[in-house]
Amino acid sequence: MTARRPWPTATSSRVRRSLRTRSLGPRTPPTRVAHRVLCALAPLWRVLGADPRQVATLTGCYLLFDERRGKASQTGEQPSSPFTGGMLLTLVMNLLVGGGVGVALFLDDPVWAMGVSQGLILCVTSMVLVTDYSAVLLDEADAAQMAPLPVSDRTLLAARIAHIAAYLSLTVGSLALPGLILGSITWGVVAFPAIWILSSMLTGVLAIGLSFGMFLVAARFLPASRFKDATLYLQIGASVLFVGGFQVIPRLISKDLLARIEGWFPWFAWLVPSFHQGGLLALADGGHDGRHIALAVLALALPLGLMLGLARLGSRGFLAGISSRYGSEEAAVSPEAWQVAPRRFADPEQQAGADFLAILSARDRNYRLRAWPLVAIALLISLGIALQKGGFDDSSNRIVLAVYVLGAYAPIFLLLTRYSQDWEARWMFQVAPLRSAGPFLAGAWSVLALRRIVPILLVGVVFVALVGGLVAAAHGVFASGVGLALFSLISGEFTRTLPFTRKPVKKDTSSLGLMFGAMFAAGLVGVVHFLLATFAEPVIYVGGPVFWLLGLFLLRQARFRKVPVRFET
Amino acid sequence: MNETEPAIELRDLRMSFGSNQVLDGIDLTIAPGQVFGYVGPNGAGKSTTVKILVGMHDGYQGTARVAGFDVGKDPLEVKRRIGFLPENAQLYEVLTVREHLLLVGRLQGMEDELILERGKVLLEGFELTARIESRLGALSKGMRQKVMITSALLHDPKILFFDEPLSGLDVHSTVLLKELIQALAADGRTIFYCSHMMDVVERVCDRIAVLSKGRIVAQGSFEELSAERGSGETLERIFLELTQGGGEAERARHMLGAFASPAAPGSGDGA
Repeated sequence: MTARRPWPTATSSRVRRSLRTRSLGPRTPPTRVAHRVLCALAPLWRVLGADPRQVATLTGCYLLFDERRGKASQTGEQPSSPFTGGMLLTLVMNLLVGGGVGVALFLDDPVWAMGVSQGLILCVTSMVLVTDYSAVLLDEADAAQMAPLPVSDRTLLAARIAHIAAYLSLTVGSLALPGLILGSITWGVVAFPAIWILSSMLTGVLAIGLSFGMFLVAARFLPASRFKDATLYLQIGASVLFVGGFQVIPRLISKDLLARIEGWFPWFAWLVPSFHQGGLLALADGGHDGRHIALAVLALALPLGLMLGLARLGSRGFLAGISSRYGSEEAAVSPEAWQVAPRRFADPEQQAGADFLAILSARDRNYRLRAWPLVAIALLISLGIALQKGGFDDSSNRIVLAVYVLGAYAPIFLLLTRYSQDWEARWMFQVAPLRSAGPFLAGAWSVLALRRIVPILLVGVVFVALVGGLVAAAHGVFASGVGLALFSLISGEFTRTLPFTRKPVKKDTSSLGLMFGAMFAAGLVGVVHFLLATFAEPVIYVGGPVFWLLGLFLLRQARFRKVPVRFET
Repeated sequence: MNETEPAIELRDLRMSFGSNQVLDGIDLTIAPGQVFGYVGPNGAGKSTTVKILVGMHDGYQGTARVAGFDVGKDPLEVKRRIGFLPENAQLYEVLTVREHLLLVGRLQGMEDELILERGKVLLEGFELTARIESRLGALSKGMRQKVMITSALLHDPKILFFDEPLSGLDVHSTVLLKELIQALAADGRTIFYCSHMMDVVERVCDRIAVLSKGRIVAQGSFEELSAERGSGETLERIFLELTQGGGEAERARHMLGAFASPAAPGSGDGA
């Protein structure tokens, strides 16, 4: 018998000291303060039916995870710590948005002043919650560990909301700070600051209640597989609304509208929670009536009632909802299951790449979450460029510029296909006998171009044709051809990564460089095209088809490239 | 590869990650048609050896030959001849079973007809045909393991690398896989079998190598290993001796002492 492993018979002094002095909680001062504030809210957790001690333990744990995850957590699928990454940049952006929000406080009517300003804060905060924090709320990573422990649904939900609230306070705070200063100028420095701070806190509670309420209802009533899709659609919808709002709202506000609303008590003030807070300001400012008192009561009662309802009803089955991983799909075999489908490529590797890209781009959550809003955003921004006060001007080159912008977006789709929720499955490619990734990539990019890029470009061409007529349509065909050729060039010559084989990252700055580079290139080609067309009109009609053919030719040639199958380790 | 040539051959294989020497001079020769058990404690270097052999790791020293080809020089020739079942491997969960098999088969250069024909037979064996259109993410761990075994066998490889192949399988499937392994070996295929389940290795493998701290400390058939240490020893006992284990019973008793504290929650009467 050889020597045995030593077995510790007494706890070392180092371990004992560690056990005595190290509590389970965050280490850095800001998060420790946040954790203490959350622990101090024990009576609130108790009212909500949660165990305050467990809430304190769990939030301490979550905040500690955030500190330790650091940059590694900035992935698409894993919940991330909002204290890391571009936190400072986000806060600065919030302050700028908050400045715009605060301008509404110059309105003379307290109901409108609060209704618009807090309404905007509520919208922004709700969208941030849906897009950035729903993954934290619905994280299933620790669900398996929680399931056998005596932790109630209410406690788990309260702990997660408390965890998010620690960061949400920064979002709401940065959005509300400019309003605090601007509002004090109009409404005075005595009562307004207190009302504004209280209203902002209530807005934060409302945002949590309204946005997470949807998820909790979905978690309770939908099966696991459909629930995941539902959350994804909510996130995509919120992203599109967020960007679309910035395009549309500034175009709707006019001086006439602002002049008309003074002194008007709208019927929807009873329905929109931010208008309720106007009642609080009216009470503090004097000159209130019965309607203002009723609004003030609603301002206080609704958020608290919402949270209570969320805790009592929404928490039911919360843990089971987020942890049910395996769906109960129908075990039925379709007759086509064993039939060979017609193929588009003779090379099996090229076909594999084409099918792989087609399937993953339609199903990968990470890709859909990023690419789908991008389609909507690209279309909205292009529409914004084409749209002028009073509608579309068919004599303007802006409508053609919109198609160039659509084309410049195309390479970003290429970059987005790098990442996948299942990136660790790339081992399959490592053990496959691929001499070169060229054929696989060529198949993949063909599908991406024909199914995702070309339809978007054609939407742009049809739009330009409808608004501007034949000549504008010819320019549109040219602009879209440039877009396709740019995509084909970048995918064929510069892409060396197999699709869906990288760990998702929250922000990919290389895509910004590529987008601006593509915009510059597209712009340059566009200017040359316009100049040539000035001297020789047929260029208008010939240039487009030439670039479309060039794009398709470059796509086909990609299969001959020698691309090594390599992955970052 | 001819009949007399070793299926797998390692000569002075060394690999380190930074200052950590994971493999410290491995020498192995495995004949075709053998089921070769490769066992060792956690961190001994089993998975690293396998990843080198299947062409997933480079940066090693020494020689690694599989199916007559140098893994470093001709990795593609090696990959065409092997099937690999990794431990705890991730899959593209959004693919269905059918789509997964088509992807793997095409990457091996197979035609769709052959992929589906073989896939059907193999899935029938695992009683998984009803899940052909299910997404991998919707399957249980055991089902996913069966799909991975199917995809490892799909291109009819002559050498198979199985890393904990029984993980997640139920009793019926475990028995089936053990039978399958022996049938594959009888048909001339070589199986490199990594596992912590000593009783299975003892029964299934023709030869066994015990790895400890990056070195092979013993190899031979189970009978040879047992005879060296006196007859009647199980592979588990031999393994513990070779890898400096032992004292587990004493440690288990010590662990029970943790419940002696009267303040321990959930201890009923507090005793």
